[in-house]
Amino acid sequence: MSKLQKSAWVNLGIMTILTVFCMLCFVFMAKNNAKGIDYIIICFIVGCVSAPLIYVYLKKRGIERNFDEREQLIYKRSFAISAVAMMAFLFALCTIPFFVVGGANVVKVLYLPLIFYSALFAAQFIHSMAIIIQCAMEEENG
Amino acid sequence: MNRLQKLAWFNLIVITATIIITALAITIEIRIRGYSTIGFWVFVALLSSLKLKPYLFKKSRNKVLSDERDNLIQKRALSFAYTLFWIVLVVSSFAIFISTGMGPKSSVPAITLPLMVIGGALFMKIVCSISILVQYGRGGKGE
Repeated sequence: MSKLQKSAWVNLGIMTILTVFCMLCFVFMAKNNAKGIDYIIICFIVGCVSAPLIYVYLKKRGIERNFDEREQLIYKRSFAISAVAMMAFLFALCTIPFFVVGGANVVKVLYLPLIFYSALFAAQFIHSMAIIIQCAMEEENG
Repeated sequence: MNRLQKLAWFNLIVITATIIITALAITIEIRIRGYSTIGFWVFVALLSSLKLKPYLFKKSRNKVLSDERDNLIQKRALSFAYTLFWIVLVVSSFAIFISTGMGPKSSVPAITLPLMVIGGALFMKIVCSISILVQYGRGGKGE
């Protein structure tokens, strides 16, 4: 198993556990109107805003440097696939409830952060899956 | 000015015109009738002109249209737009959540969801176009 495959499996596992855990915690706290949720949300927003910036910084320092040319190509292709799929997923996630509920009705505000969590999970899930599938296909072809 | 720059300018002009004309149409209609229905159709009609790009900016077969630098600029612009889109998505979804009181019974109109998607798509297009123009502006005339 190459480094890229290992990192994809680790990302997939950690992301799934964290997303499910965060979603459950978030729904539980919001449903119970728990005290301190606003501080947690502020921390979370800071984290989410700083994460892409850290990613860009790490990318500049060469996070992909350990990968060979073939792995870098797979990584980039997977990223493009995940970006497109995430957009389609987000579009479906926002338009389907609108048509189901009806334009004149309302939706719970809790739904908005959940959309974000789902999109984040979908993007990472598709990215990791695309890497694993592409690696498997290349191994099959020799 | 190369094809990529022309496309970026076209995107910016169409999106800006769409926003201004739609806002005007909705405002005028609400003043006259008290509600607005044609605003949506004005928005869709104007925005669909973005689909005219392949006909307006045709690719000629004999000419080389883009080199490695152009591709790099395009990739960098897309990457920047994607990153910024994420940040705006997080901030907007949590800002609405916080501003409505964060309670389990708080709700928003259902129209907020498609508006978020449309707004996000337009935002990405605008950021990408501006990023392309800025990058060409920095590195010479782009010919």
